[in-house]
Amino acid sequence: MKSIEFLLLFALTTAVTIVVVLLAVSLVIRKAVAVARTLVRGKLYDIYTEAAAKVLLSEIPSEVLSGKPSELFAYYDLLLQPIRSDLLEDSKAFLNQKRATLKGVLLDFSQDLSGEARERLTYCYYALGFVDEEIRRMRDRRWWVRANAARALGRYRARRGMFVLTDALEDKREEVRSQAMKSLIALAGPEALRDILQRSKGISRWHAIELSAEVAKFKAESVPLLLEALSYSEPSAVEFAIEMLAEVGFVDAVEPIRKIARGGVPANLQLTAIEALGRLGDTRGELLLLQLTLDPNVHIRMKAMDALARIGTPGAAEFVLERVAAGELPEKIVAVRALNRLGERGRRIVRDLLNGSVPQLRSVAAHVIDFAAPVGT
Amino acid sequence: MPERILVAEDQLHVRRLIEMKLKTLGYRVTTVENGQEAIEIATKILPDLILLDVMMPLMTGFEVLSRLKQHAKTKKIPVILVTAQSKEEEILHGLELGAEDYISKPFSPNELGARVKKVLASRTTKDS
Repeated sequence: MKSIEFLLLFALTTAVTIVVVLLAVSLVIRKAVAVARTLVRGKLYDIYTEAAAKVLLSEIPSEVLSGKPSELFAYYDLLLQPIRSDLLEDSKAFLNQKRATLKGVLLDFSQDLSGEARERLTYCYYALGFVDEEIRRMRDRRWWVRANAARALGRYRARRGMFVLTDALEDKREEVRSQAMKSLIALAGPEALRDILQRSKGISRWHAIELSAEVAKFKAESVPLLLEALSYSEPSAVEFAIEMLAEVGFVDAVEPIRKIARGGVPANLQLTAIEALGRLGDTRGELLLLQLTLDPNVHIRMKAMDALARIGTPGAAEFVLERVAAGELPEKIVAVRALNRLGERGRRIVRDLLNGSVPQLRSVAAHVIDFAAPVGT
Repeated sequence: MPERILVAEDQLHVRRLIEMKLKTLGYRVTTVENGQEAIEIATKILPDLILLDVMMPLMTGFEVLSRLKQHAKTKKIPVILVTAQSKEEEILHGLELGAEDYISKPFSPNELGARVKKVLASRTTKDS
């Protein structure tokens, strides 16, 4: 009996030892493979950097440069021949690694080069099949593959990818929509804004921030497209256009924005328009804002007072003061804060409130003055 | 004897491209990967021109430039800065430190070649 137990224990120990040894060996092999792959990748990167640099720097005869595009492309093809031949050899797995490395090299060059060399790079992406590969990947069911493909098409400056990128503006994943939007702007400049704003549904806050960073690069060029977007049916696109017009500081947008601020649109849109009137700081928006301080909706009233304070016309003080008397506490705070920014007249009213007989208003005035005072005073 | 140019750039692809471009223009080229090496090699070989990337490990291009300009042996070597962004304040800072010119990334290799030629030509004029 004891010998059976001993045999069982021995067998178990042996089995565990074998498993541990196998695991250790497999870990060592995996590590060695990873190191070998890194070395190969490094070597390939080196080789393709040199090959790509040769393609980018080769002198092109002036008659070819000034000739037909087809002749120029044929010349580019000639320059690419050594890389093409290299990609024809080897097994599929190694070929994939080679292509991935080559793509990385070309993308690295894309970031740092401009001029005719940059155009050669775009041709390389087309000629080596990278553009078509990304266009195919835009149909992948995995969203991250689609997002990466959308990003790559922008980095390639591949205009052939524009139609799939435009379709991707309606992708169900925001990450894909966002990358498509950025790539379209990289490819078509502010002109891409029309498609982006017309086809985007429910632009989220994050999406709007990213988009605004792109639009800010074009400033004045984007204004006509943003003005056009004010008449779109998608509220989030209109909201975005209003915010961007205010950001760019295009004061002539006051008139169309005032129409939206007047009402008859979703409340959020109206609030954005009111805020934009304040940010634009143009007195043409003032009369409407004064009327809106009497709106039945408290949020509209508060936003209007804040906008009036931004414009800063002292004559608005009397209207705002009415809200100090009539409104609930949050409205009183906004009104007093606005008064404090409405010139000397407004500040005098706030000081009077501070020394007045109504305890609540004294507290509000003290809070506002405290809040507005520079730190350390 | 062709002029010798020292290229200090940490990114392999940019370093290789600049090296190849300058060699095709007939210059002798020495490359280094970081700021520290740039100072060591510059004081040793005394190149005719230094192309200096601003964003480098160990020491930034600005630090390298300011050290080169303090050193008696290297202070007269013209330096072209290669900047990642065309930020006005960075460019001004570089020029104040004594850089002869700057190139902003993304750059055109042909433009780079032209600027190198121009700086070297103006150096020759000054010397004569």
